[in-house]
Formats: sequence, structure tokens, C-alpha cells
Amino acid sequence: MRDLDELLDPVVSRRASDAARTPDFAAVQRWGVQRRRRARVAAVGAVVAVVATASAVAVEVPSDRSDTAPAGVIEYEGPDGELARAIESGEAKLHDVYLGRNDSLLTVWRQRVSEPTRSDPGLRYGFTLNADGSARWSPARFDGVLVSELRAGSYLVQDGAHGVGDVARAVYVADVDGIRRLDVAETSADFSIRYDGFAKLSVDRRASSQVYAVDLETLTAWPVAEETDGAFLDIGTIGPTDDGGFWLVGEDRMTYLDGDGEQTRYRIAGMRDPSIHRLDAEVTRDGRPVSVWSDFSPGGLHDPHQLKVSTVRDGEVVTNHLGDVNYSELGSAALLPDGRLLVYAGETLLRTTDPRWRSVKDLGPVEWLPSSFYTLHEAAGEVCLAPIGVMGQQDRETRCSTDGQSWEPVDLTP
Amino acid sequence: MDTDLVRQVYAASYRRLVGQLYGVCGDLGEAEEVVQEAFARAIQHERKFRRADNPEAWLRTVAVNLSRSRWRPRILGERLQRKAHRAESSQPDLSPDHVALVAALKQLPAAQRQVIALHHLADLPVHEVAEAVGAPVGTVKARLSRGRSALAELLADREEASHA
Repeated sequence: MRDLDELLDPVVSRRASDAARTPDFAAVQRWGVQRRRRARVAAVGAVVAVVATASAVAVEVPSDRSDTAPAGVIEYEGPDGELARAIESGEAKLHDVYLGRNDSLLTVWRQRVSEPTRSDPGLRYGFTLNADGSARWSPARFDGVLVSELRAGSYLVQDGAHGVGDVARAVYVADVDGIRRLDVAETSADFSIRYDGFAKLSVDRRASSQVYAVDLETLTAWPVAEETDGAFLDIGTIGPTDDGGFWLVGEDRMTYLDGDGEQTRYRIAGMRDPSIHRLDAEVTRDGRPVSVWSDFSPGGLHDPHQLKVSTVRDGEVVTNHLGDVNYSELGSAALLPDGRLLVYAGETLLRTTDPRWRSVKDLGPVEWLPSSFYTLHEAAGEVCLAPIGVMGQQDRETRCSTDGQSWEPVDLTP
Repeated sequence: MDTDLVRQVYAASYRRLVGQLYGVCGDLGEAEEVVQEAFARAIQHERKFRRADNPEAWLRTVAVNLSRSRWRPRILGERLQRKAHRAESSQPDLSPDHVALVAALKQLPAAQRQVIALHHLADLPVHEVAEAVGAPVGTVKARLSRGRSALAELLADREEASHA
């Protein structure tokens, strides 16, 4: 292969230009005109909805890109609220799905509300929470919504964040009791008290992200640990354990923070580049850290890789080889209620044969999946396969199973 | 509504923009889509487009922003859905080495891939790349440096594997 300097050649773009198909301008013009008309209808509809609901519920009007985040409590809307009607009309598109461990379901929706600029795509987000047999709708007022489950049925919603690298304007706790603003403290967590959970929050521009201990009684989050080893390309999941400690799983390591705030780090040997190799990081329902990753050695990027799962057992990192798979940038794991681990990597569904994950059975392709872009979630008493970023594809199913083989569809409508 | 300006820019710049976005997207069909979408938005926001100092740069920025969201893992489903419904589009006639380069680019983080593609493959000066991606010139230079190192390593891995 030629030297990199020779390869980085503008001939690539020129050849692409030559091969480009150029649609007739009239088609593009029609498309743009339709966009303009839809934007006008949505803007009028939003004004009407705001006027109609202002006297009914205490909902704040979605503001322009103001840095003044609302304080206090945000009221849920009802089935006649703006978001509910936008969902029904199709103006709001399904954006993401979070399945809670208490059988709750939080669904994120996005809606076009203003003209896009370079710094603002003109989108606002809201979410619906299905729990305890009831549906609740948030206002479509968030600039971005990054969700993590704090504890069963209680979610942290970071407003203004889409992923790693974004800084949230505010953080809220969303559960059946309402949407309440979380106060982010600057002083370190005091481990003499027991917290409701831990979360990774992107609230400080000086740090890529920090781990926070959350106390729901005072609605306060305190910084616990700071990630300093490079930039995360994905957010590892953090889960609390019964003794008050928690696991932080990400990059090529698993860190245990005990009830006194002491950290113990475990490094996964053989993961040369976590940004490419690591497919998923989770803490299972029974409190075990799991890292699913591709081992590229021997071989290169385009050769079959060894799919591996690492955990910590009896104070040591244990890594098991699950099988050889083709390269995939996707992978997820979830624990079945009986302790066996289910792993989904691209097109392959694997299930360990025992709760110690020593051997694995290939369950074969999942026949009902329309694509490989699905991820596993742990839910109450089962595991679920949900599409990664449904982005308005209302017909993309989410299904759940207790054994990894029989899958039942889930109704995502609020 | 007068779309003559957009029509003129479309005739003059569409193919060039697709070529520039090809390295960013890694796929010709996707590059065509984001550029078409950018022109549709120019029509939707025609007054704003008219006020732009450099209409082609305006379109390029919009197209880069559109391509950015495609590479976030959580919304890969949409990209796959579009691929399934889109007619098979031809890909550029590239040498095997360049095909490998584009494939390796896809493995880079989006921020590095964008600057590498726009500066080296699309031959844009650094200050125009900075405008397109919405980052300071210094940041673009740092991403170029890191991106080249990562790219070299990926290509070396591939080369090593092919000789094994």
C-alpha cells in the first residue's frame, strides 16, 4: 500500500463528483417548498397548542436557545397536551427508547420547532413515561435528551446533551412523581450517607464527564470521580450494588467504588483500542460489570474477530471467548432472569449456558429483526431487543423475552 | 418565491459538494442525500441563503451537520432504513488503495473523519474546513494530526493482515 501522504489525494473527491447522480432541480425544489409549508403548519399548530394549554396546566413555553434553564418542577402534560397531539399527528418523531428495570418505559420524541441554524438544528425533544399503568408526557422543551436509569423507574434526563462531549444545560429526575430539577453540587460526595444511585453526567465543560452520586431526597448530585483517560466514544453504564458501592464500566477497565468512596480498578487485557474494540459496557441486574468487546488479534480489521466478554469475579478480571464473529460496530449484553448472559453482536445472538458464563450457545439469527441495528436491554423479569435510534420508524418493533428465544412485541405508544 | 439563486448554485456546485461530502460520509449515496437535503433547506430558508457571503460554504456546513448525526451509534437505524429503500447507487471508480482508505476513514471518530476528508480529500484550506465543521482552526489542526495518526495505524493493520 502506498504511503499515507500519497493516499490522501483529492482524486478521491473528484472521482466521487464524477460518479454523482444529479437529480433534476425541480425535484429538490419541490422538496424544499414542502419543508417550508410543513414548518409553517407546525409553527401555527405550536402557537395554538400553547394558547390552548396555558390555562389548563402550568407548562412553560419552549424558549429559544436561552441559557436560563427552568428551575423547580416541570409538570407533565396530559393526553391533550402539545406533545401528545404532536405524536398523534406525526409531527413528533420517535427518537429513542429506554426500558426500565421496573417495567417502566421512557420514550424520547423529537419535533421541529424553528428554523435550523449552524448552531441549532431547530429541534426540540420531549419524552413520555409509561409506568404504573399510566402514561405521562413531558413538554417538548429539551434541546437534547440523554437518559440514564438511576434506579428502577427513576430516570435522569440531561437537557441539551446528545452524547459524550455535549454539556447539559440542566439535569432532571423523571419518575411517576414528576420532572424535578437536580442541583449539581461542586463539593465531593460524602460517603457517610447512602445514595439513591450514581450516574455519569456531562455538566462540566472542564471535564469530559464525571460520575455523580445522587440523593433523591434533596435532589442533589455530588461529583465522585472524574474520567481522565482519554475521551469516551460511548457512555459506559453505571449500576449500584446492594452494599452501596457501584461499578463504572468503560474503555478497557472496570472500576469499583465502594461505600466509602474507595476505588479499585480492573483493566481488561488485550483491548488495544477501546474506541474500536469495545462494543458494550453494562452492569447487570445482579450487579456484575460486563464488557463486550472484539479482539482483533490475530488478523486485521476485516478478518473475523473473537467476541469476548469480560467481568470481575472474586477480585479478578475473567474474560471468556464467546465465538468468532465478523466485524461489527454494534454489540450489547443483558442478563436473563436466570443468570445466563445474552449477547447480541450484529447478526449473532449468543446465550451462555450457565450463570458463570463459561460456555455459550449460538441461538442463531433473530428472525423477526429487520436489521442488525438493535440493542439489548434488561427490563423487569425479561430482556428486550430495541432498535438503536428509531428515528421515526414507527414500525420498528421492540420485543422482549425471558429466555432469549421466544420474543413478544412491546407496545411503545404512550 | 424566487429560487433562481439556489438553482444557479445547484448547477455550479452540486457535484463538487457531493465529492466533498463523500469522504465524510464514506458512501456516495449518503453524500448525495445530505447534499440534496442541504439544497432543500436552502430553498426552505431562501432569504437566509441569499444573505450568505458564500452560498457554497453555507451548503457545505449544512451538509456536514446533517452527516454528523448519521454516525452517532444510536441513530444508525435510520441510515440502514434509508439504505434498504434506496436504489443501488454507483460508487466512485477508485483504486483498491483508495477504497481501503475510505473504509479506514469510516473507523475514525466523526470529528477526525470530517476534517481529514474535507482538507485532504476535498482539498479545502484549513480555515474553510473550520467553518464547515464549526470549530476553531487550532482544533481542526489538532484533529488532522490525530486523525492522520489513527488512519496510518488502521491502514498498517490492514496491510499486515493482508500479508499474513
